[in-house]
Amino acid sequence: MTASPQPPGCTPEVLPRQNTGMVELLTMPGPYKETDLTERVEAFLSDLKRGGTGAGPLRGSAETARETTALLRKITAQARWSSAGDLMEIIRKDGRRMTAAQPSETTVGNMIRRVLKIIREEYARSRGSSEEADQESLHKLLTSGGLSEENFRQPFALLKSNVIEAINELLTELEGTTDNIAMQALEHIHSNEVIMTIGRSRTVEAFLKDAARKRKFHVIVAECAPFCQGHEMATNLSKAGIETTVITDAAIFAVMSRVNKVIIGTQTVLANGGLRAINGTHTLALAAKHHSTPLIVCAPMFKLSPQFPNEEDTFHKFVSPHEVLPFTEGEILSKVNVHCPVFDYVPPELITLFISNIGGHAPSYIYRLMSELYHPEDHEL
Amino acid sequence: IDNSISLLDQMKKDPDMASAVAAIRTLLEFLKRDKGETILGLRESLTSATDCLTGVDSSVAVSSGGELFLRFISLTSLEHQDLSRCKKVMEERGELFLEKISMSRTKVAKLCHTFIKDGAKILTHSYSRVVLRVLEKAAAEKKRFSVYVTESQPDAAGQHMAEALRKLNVPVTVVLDAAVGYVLEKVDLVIVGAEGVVESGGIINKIGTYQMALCSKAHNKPFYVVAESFKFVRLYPLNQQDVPDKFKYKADTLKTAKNLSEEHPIIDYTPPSLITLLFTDLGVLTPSAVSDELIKLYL
Repeated sequence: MTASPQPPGCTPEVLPRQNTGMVELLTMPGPYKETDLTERVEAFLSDLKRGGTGAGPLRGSAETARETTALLRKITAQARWSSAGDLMEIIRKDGRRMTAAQPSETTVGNMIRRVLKIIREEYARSRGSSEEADQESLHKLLTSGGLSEENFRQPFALLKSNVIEAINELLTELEGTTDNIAMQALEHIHSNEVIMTIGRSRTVEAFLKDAARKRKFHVIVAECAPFCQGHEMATNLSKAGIETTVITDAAIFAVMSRVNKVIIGTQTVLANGGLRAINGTHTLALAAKHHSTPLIVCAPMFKLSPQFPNEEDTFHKFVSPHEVLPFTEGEILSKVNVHCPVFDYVPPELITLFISNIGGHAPSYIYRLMSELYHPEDHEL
Repeated sequence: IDNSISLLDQMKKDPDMASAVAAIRTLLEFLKRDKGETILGLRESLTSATDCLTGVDSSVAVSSGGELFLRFISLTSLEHQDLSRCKKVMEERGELFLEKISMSRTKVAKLCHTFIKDGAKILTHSYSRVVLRVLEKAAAEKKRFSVYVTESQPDAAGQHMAEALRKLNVPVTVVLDAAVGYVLEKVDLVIVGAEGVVESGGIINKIGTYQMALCSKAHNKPFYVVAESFKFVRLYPLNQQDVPDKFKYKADTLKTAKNLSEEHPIIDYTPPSLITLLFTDLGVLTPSAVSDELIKLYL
C-alpha cells in the first residue's frame, strides 16, 4: 500500500511502518488519515532537528514533552494495530527516529518510554493480571512458576480507548508540572535569603516568582556565558519585583560565601541521580559543596531519563564556536581550536535535593522513581 | 549429610560454577532425597545441611545461597498444604531457579560492558569469574582495553586471573597489592566482583578490596561492583569488626586455630559510600537500591 506521498529526503523507513503486515485487520483508517499522520511525524522530526540549537532551545522541554505525547496519542488513535505488541512496535520504531533526530533532547525518549509503560499497564489490567508481575526482583526469581513470555499478542477491544485515556491523564499531568513545583516554593525559600541560580530555567523562574508573592529575598544570577541567558532570567525576575544581581561565571566562587541556597534547573536527570545541565553548572555545584551550601534542583518528572552518564557518544553537544570567538577575529582562528560545549555533568554527590512535581526527593531515591515511571525493557528503545 | 558434602565437592570440580550455585544445587539434591513427613522437619534437616556446607566452605556466598534456598522453601510451602505436592512444586521451581541464575552472569556482562570504553585501563582485584565474563564480553565487542590485576595474597589468585585474561589476548599486568595507590593514577575505572552484597549496599570481597575502594575514592575514579543477585545477604555490618568471624576465615582455619586474633582474615567489608554502581542481573543499581531488593524478598 503506497498511498502516502514520499516527503523529500525521507528514509525508506516510513513505508515499513505502514506495511506492518496487519492487512487482515479490523481498524482500517482511510489513506487520508495515514498521510496526515506521516506528515505530522515528519514535521515534528524536522522541528526537532532545527529546534534544539542549545542556545536555549527555541522550545522549552515542557513543550517538547507535550508535543511528543500529543503525537503519540495521535499515532495510537490513527495507526493500524490489533494488539498491544503491534502498537508498542510502532511506537518504538517512531521513537527511535525521534530520538535520533535530536539525541540531546531526552524528554522525547522519556515520553515514549512513559507511553510504552502505560500500554503495558493497560494490557496487564485488561488481562486481569497484576502489574507487579513484570518487575524483576529476587522475590520473583524464587516464586515464579514458568518462564513468563509476555508477548502482548492478545487483542482487547477496549485497549485503544484505555490507552488514549491514560495518555490524556499524562498530558494533564504535564500541564500542571510547573505549577506543582512552584507551589512548593514557600517551604524552601525564607525571608531575607540570598539565592543563587545560573542561566535561564522556566521552572526556577516560576518557583522564585511564586515565593516572591509572600516573601522578600535576593537573587544572584550567574549570566552563563556565552549564551548569556542569565540576562533574560534577571530581567524577568526583576519585573516580578525580586531584587536581582547579575554576575559573571568567574565570580561564582567569590560570591558563594554570601549565598544561602543554590536553586537550579536542569536539562536531564540521569539514572544515577546526576544531572546533565547547562555548562557552568558543575562549577557552581563544586563551589556550593565547598561552602556547604545546599544545592536544590527543580526538575519535573518528565526530565528523568534512564541513561547512565557513561555513554560518551550521546553525551556531549557542541554548537558553533562563534559565540565564544566571533568569526571576525580571523587571525586567531587559524591558530587556535575553539569549542563551545552546551552541557555539563554534575555527579549526584553534589546535589542536596530534587524538587519535582510529586514532591522533594534525595538523589539516592531516583532509582525508585525510575522503576515507577519506566519499564526496564524499555530503557533501550 | 555425608552425601551432601561429597556432592558439594563434586560441584566444586566445575570451576566455573559460583559457590552459591553449587550450594543451592546440593541442597536441591538433598531435598529430592529427603524422606521427611513434615515441612518443619524438612526445614530443620535443610538447616543442618546448610550448617554442614558452611563447615566445608565458609564463604559468604555459600551462606547466602543456603539462606536463599530456605527462603525459597518457606515461600513455596506457604502456597501448598499437601507435602508431596509441595515437594514436587519445590523441585520444579528449584530447577527453574537454577536455570535462571545460571544465566545471571551473562545478564550482568551485557549490562556492564557498555561502561568500558575503547582504550580504557581497568583495575581489578584477585580472581572473579563475573569480572572475567564482563571482560570477555567487552573483548568480544572488539573493545581495546588493558587490565591491571592485583596479585591478591595469600593465595595469589590474581595470577590465575592474569592467565585467563592472557588467553583472551587482553594486555594484562600483575601488580603488588601494595601498589594499588601507585597504579591508580593511570587507571580509568575499577571493577571488582563480590562474594556477598550486604543490606546497606556495601560488599564483602577478598581482602584488599576496601583499600582499593578508598584509593579510588581519593583519586575520583569510578568503582564498579559486578555481582549476581543471589549474593545479596541479610547482614548489616557497620565496620570491619561487625563482619561475623565465621566468614572472615577459611573453614579449616576456624576448626584448627586456637587464637583467631593471630590469623589473617581473607575478606573485608567495603561500605556503600565508596561504591559508584552495582551491576546485577536485576539491573544497574545504586547502592541505596540494594536494600529495597532485599526487603522485597525477605519481608
